[in-house]
Amino acid sequence: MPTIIVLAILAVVILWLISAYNRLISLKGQTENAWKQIDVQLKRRHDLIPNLINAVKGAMQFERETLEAVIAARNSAVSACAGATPATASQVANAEGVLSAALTRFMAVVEAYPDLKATGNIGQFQEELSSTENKVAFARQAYNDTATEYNVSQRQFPTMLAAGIAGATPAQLWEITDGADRAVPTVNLSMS
Amino acid sequence: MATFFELQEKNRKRTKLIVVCFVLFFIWLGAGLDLTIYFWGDGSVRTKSHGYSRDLSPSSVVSGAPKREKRFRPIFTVIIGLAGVGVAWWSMTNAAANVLSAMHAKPADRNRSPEELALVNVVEEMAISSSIIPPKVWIIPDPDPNALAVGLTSDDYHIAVTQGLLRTLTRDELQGVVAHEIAHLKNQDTRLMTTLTVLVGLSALISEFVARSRLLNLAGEGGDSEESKIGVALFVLWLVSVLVAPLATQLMALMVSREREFLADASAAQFTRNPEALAHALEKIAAATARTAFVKPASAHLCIASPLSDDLDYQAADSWFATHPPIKTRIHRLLTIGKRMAVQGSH
Repeated sequence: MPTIIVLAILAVVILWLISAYNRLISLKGQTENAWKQIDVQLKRRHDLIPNLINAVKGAMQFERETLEAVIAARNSAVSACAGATPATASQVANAEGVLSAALTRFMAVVEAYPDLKATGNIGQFQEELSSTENKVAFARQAYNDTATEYNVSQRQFPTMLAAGIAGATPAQLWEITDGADRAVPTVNLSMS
Repeated sequence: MATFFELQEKNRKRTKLIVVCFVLFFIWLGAGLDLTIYFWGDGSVRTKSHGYSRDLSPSSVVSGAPKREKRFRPIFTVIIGLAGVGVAWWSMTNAAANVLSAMHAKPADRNRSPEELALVNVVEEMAISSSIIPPKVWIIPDPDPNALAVGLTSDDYHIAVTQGLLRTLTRDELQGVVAHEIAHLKNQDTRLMTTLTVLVGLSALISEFVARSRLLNLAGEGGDSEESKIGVALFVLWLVSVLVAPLATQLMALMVSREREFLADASAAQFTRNPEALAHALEKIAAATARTAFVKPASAHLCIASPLSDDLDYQAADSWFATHPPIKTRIHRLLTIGKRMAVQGSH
């Protein structure tokens, strides 16, 4: 009888270990996937910017400086993103912060052009831009939420006992380091 | 005050508890009958059973079996279990398409109007925020503001909103509503509620069948031995359970539905980090008291707010028969989450 009890306890422990291991592995996969999603959304933003600028370039001839600032910020963000890993996250975050700030100035200038506002295109343009910014922000948020869940379950008892076997290491969160990015005012989101 | 993560955890635990009760109740519906047959005395039922030979009642089963050696056979447990799984599976394989076509929904087009462009963008944003594959977006031609989510697998997720909703809400509020619907998909509420709805229907069928059969006449009959008394007691208890089953299962399903609404609200707060916008949207939806004509009552639990105008009253109290918690309570909880976030600072 005691042998049976010992065996039963052993079976329960092994089953628990398997499920804890699987949970950690699944969280690790989700974290990696969420990281890639940030990348996807940043690339999407980089691809969108030339189109946006083309749409308003004609009417903004004497705002070359603003347009060039956006293009320069975009290009340096593209190079920062190439081959980025969670370890280089802060460099990417800085470059993207500069780009966000340049885009905000750009939007403010566009607002000041009554001609542009009158074309009707501008509503769509604003919507696309603010949605792009949202997508980048939400991708980061999803990454941070997933990474936090992963990190917490690595430290939590008793899941921490399986962390070694699952090769789980804490994931770095995406922090906002750049003052410019933190200060980004929201684009006017009202749907008119 | 609790964070949205703690609230989600609490809601999930409560749902699990109710679902376990639900399953136990179903097992009892089958096992109770089997136990009755097992305990019911030897001769007494057999002699009285000639008249009932057409029925699928315990008497015909008992009289058919050799009675000297008693063995426990979980026949009805297995039959009712299989029927439940079967019907649930069947209804899950063709739910989404039916619901949408019944509402005359048409696909949203980002080039048709600024509102539809914003809707498509908002759905994409919330899909990113919740890490699910973007669902298909539909517009329902109804002036009353409402929204719903259907679909049981991640490659077949749909979100539909009414034209009234697009017209009434700001972009931020729309984002809150879409986040709530995406949360239903992400938390697999559509699957859970479809299964429960089917099981409620099944228990109604069983109850109907028992009430019409002659099983009722058998209560009170049986031998004098100790075991057959247990048998009679079990049978009476079982009969009572079967007769209240439709109501009991319905109430349990509605309890689950209300828990999942709170869960979806808390998840929406996580996805948008803007619980106030959803609270405002709920206020606006409650203000439009008309009934959403295109949504059938059977799909009510999939909506952002109950499509029945009675349940939408801002002053409506918590009811055992409602698919959604009172809007007032939901708004209050959302604002509490918002205050908590303001104190902590969101990350």
